[in-house]
Amino acid sequence: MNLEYTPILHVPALVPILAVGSAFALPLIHLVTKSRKVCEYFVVTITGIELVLTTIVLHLAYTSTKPIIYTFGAWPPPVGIVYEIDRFSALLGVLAAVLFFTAALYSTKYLEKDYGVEWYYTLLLGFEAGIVGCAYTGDIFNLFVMFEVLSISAYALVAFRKDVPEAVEGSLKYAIVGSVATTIYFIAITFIYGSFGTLNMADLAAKVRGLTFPVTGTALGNVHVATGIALALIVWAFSIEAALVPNHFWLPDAYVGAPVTFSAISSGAAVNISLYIIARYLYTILQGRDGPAAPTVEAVLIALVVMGCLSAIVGSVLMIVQKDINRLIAYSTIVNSGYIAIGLGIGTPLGIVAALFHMINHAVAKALLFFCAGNYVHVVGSRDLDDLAGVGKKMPLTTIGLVVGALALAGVPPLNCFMSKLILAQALFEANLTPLIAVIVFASVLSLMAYLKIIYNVYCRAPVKKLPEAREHPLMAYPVIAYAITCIVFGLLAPILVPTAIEPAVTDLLNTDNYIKAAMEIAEKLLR
Amino acid sequence: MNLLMLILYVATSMVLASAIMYVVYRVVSRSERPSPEKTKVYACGEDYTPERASASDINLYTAVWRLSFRNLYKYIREKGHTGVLSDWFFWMYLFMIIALVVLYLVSVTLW
Repeated sequence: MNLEYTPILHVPALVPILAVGSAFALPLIHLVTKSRKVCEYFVVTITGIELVLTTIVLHLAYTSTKPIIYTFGAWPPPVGIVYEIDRFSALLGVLAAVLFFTAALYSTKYLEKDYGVEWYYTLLLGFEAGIVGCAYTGDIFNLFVMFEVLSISAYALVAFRKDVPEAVEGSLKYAIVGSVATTIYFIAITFIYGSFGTLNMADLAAKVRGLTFPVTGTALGNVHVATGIALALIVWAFSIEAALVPNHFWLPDAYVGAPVTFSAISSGAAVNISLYIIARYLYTILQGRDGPAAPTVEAVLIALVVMGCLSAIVGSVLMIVQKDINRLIAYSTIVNSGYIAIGLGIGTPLGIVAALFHMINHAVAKALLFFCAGNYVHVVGSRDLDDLAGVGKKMPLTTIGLVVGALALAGVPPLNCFMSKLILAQALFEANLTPLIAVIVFASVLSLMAYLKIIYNVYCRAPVKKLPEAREHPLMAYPVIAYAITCIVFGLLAPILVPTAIEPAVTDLLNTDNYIKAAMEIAEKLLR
Repeated sequence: MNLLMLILYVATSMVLASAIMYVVYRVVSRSERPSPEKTKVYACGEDYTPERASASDINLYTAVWRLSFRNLYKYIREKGHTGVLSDWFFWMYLFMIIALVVLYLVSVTLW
């Protein structure tokens, strides 16, 4: 074993382990200290460290020519669990860490009226471990485990305010639907394992090509039938967390009663991770429409485009008639998840660039909108748009953030989401799918009408009832300002960001050769 | 020219043009605030508060939209968005069955 081990090589493994370890430690810390402040400082510090660690991983991924491999216990792939991190997954890891850090900071004031926050923070850290673990793993069974960690934390986070009936109902519905999804994914894994004889992603990609991988050799059974059935189940299972029509029903109900911090993270990170997993299967393991499984992949790509279009239409049509601010923004997540699915379904590198860029832009803008909604609801105590009338004038910083976020999501140039939608339109045009641009425009127009409804109610209307004098606390205003600035900056810097950050990440996702080679080299070294 | 750069140029020129027009408007228009009499809501002599004068959420343009597509909303609500889990699962499993059949046939026949 001549591997050069340096401490920095352990950073990828440290990210989920630190989050899980801290999640277990937090209730004990609270038991000893009985202090809410200690819990808050602890979580903000841990999420801050997580942000630093994921940034180091991102730096390593962008400065390396091949994916970063971390072998747990130095077991060679495919025997042991392996983290295989390329630029695509590293980028999503940082994005998730940013969302968690800002959510932790925001929660310290947002949850000031709630009790039992130590459990909320425990679940938040578990949620982070699950999301980052899903992004980093190179093993489909470990992916299942991390997805369970993510899901279970998410169900409980939705029901954090257990005195609110909508929260409990939303959580139960989400838990039932989500459990079915994870079970179905588990069944898909059994099909894959039974025919390929491996759970390692690089090994699977090698076997799809008919290559021999160390230890497992070649595939065991009929990979054609198994791939077809497994892929159908995988797309079905992950389209639930991604809230793609017709698997979207749970999302508005779950977001209504949940803390807005959960909604912001779920919209920005959990939805992205689900779509990322579908992309990883389609483009890295099965190697897209140019790979050996081209007909099966082609059928899934068509399904993604159809589901994306339906999500954009159904989401925007329902969004416009909502009266509850959280529910309205929740439907917007379905719309934007649809745009990302369309980008992934086009199947060209430009389509995936559009999808990845929109994942990042949507995460930023959606977190901004949810935090703004949280600020209003925190002061007024109601989510009804009529009750929020006039509150925007009392909270100018939040209202500026709301306007920026709403315009960004509606696709107003030169804000960030417009840029990703423009690339998506360009990708559709180049793929001879020009009529589908009309779907994006239609959904964007309806979304704009819905966002204007919020702006009209909170800012243009006179208050219908006496509003409290309270304004947004700095800890609730800073994330709003930061995200609003990011929406503008990402839009203005799009011509630089796309070629330097997004395109290399997409190149890595599509570079199956490199993905297989990196794992194979490590396996051969460790077996020597 | 790069499409994204082009958009930035267009957007910048629009913002600049709007800013110039706004400055010109501020210079040309009278700076004093309108009298309270001018801003008072007038409804044929009736006493009308600003709260009553502004349209509520239900009466906003979305109401027109909702009425125009009443059948569409009725269909969407009654067929899927009922809030009942079994209704949701009908559509979800329908999609799963279609996906399974199509992908199985494609994998067996075309791959």
